[in-house]
Amino acid sequence: MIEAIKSYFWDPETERRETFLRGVPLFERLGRRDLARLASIMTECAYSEGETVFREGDVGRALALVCSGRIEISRSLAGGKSVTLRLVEPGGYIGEMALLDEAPRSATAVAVEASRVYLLHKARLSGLMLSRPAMGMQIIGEFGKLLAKRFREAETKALLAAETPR
Amino acid sequence: MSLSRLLAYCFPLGSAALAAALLWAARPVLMPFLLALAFAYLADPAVRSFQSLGLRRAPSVGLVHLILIAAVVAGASFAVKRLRAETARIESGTSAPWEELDSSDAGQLENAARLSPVAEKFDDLLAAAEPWVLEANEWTLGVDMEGWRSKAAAGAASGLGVGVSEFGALLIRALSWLLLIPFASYFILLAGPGALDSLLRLASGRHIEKTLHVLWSLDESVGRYCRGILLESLGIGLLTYAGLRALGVDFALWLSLLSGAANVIPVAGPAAAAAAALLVSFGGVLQPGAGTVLGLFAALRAVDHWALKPALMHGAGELHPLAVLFSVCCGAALGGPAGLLLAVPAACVLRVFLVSGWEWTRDELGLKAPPGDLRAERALV
Repeated sequence: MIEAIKSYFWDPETERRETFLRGVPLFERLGRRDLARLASIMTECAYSEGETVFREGDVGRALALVCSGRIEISRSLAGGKSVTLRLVEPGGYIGEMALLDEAPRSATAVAVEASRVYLLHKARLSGLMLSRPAMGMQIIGEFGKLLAKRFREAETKALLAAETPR
Repeated sequence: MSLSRLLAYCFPLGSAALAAALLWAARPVLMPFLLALAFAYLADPAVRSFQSLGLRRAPSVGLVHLILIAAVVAGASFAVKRLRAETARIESGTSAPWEELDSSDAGQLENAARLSPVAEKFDDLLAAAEPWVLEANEWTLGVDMEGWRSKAAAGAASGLGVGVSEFGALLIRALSWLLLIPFASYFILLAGPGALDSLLRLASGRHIEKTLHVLWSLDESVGRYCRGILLESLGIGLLTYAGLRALGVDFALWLSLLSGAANVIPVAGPAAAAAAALLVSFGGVLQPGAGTVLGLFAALRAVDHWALKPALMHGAGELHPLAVLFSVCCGAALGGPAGLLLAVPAACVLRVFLVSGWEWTRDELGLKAPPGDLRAERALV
C-alpha cells in the first residue's frame, strides 16, 4: 500500500537523471538539490542511427550528455574526406565549450546507433547559475579545472613536438 | 520543383492555414482556453520546482493548483472584508461634512464650487472611456455588451425585466470560467512536456538544437517578462496600499488594486493609477494634498525602477524603451484594451523570431558569426 502511494507521488526519472549527472565529471561535486535542479532543465532528445547531432560549423549553444547509444565525433579534411576523432559512450559529453562561447562547432557529431542525449542549453544553465550563485561557482570551478588540464596537455604536446628531432 | 518537394512545402503551410482558420472560427469560445494556456505557462516553473524535489508531474500540478486556489480564496476574502470596511468608513466619514454644505460654511461651498469643474472633467473622462470598457468586456466575456445594455434598458422601461435572463447568462458564463480555466490549465500543464517532445520529434537531427534555442529564447524573453510583470504588479499594488493607507487616502484598496493592475500596461498604466489617486484626493474630505499623493506615486516609480524591475525582470524582453512605447501605441491602435495588454509580449516574440530567424539563416548560409554573446559571458564569469 505504502509502496503504491510512494510510486504514485515519487518519480524514479528524477533519481535516474540525478544519478546520471553525478557520473558526469563537470557536475560530480554538486549537491543533490542542485543536481535535481540541473536535471529539470535538461531536454531529452532521441537520435536514430546515422542522424546528425550537430555539424561542423554550426553555432554551438548546448552541451550534449550521452545517455544511451554511441556518438561518433569526426572532422572533415581537405579533399572532402573526414577523420573519426573519438566515439562518445553513455556517460560522456560533447560540446561543453558551447556553454562558454557561442562559437562554431569544430567537429561533426553523428549517432552511430539509436541514441538518447540530454541537451543542456547555455541560456537555461546561465539562468540557473545566476539564480544559484554557489552552484554556478562550483560549475565554473570545474570548467576552469577542465580548461587548465587541456591547456597543460596542449602545452606538453607542443613541447614534445618541438623537442622531437625531425 | 518535383511534386513530392512541392507537397512537402504545401502540406505544413496548408495545415497551418487550416488550423488558423479553425481557431478564428472558434474565437468566441477561445478566450478561457487562452487564459488557461497563459496561466499554465506562468505556473510551469512552480510545477518544475516541485518536480525537482522528486515528485511526479501530476501531483506537482495538483499541488500548484491547490496552493494557488487557496491563495486566491484567501486574497479574495481579505479584499472583500477590507472593501466592505472601507466603504462603510467612507460613508460614515463623508456624509456629515457634505450634509453641512447647505449650512453657512462658506469655505466648504467654495470648495464644492472649485471642485465641480474637476468632477465634470472626470465624468467626461469616464464617458470617453466607456467604449473601451465595453470593448474590454466583449473581448474578455465574449458578450455583445451594447446589445445587452439596450435590451436591459428596454426591459426596464417596459417593466418586463427582459435583461435579467441575459444578465443571468453573463453571470453563468463568468462563473463557468472560474471552473473552466483551472480545469483546462491542469490538463495543459500535464501535457506540457509531451507537447515539447512532439515538437522536437518534428525537428530532425541537427535542427533539434536550433529549435530548442528558439524555444528557450522565447521562454527567456516572453516568460521572464510575463512572470516579472505579474510579480512587479503585485509588489506595486502592495506598496501602493501601504502608502495610501499611511497617508489616509480614501479607497486605498480600490486604488492599490487599480495601481497593481494598471502596472501591466507600460507607461500609460502607472500614469492612470496616479491620476485616479489624485482625483480621489481632490474630491474627498480630509484627504492629503495632491503634492503628497504625487510624491507617493513618484517614490513608487523610483522603487520600481531601482529595485523591483532589476530584481524581477533582469534580461526580460530586452526591448528599448522607445520600442516599448511604440509597441504599446501600435497595440492600442490595433487591438484596443487587449492590444495594450499584449503589445509588449507580442513585441518580445517578434524580436526573438527576427533575431533567431536571422541567426538560423546565417548558420545555414555559412556566413561568419559575430563574436560570442559578451553579456552572457560576463554573466557566466
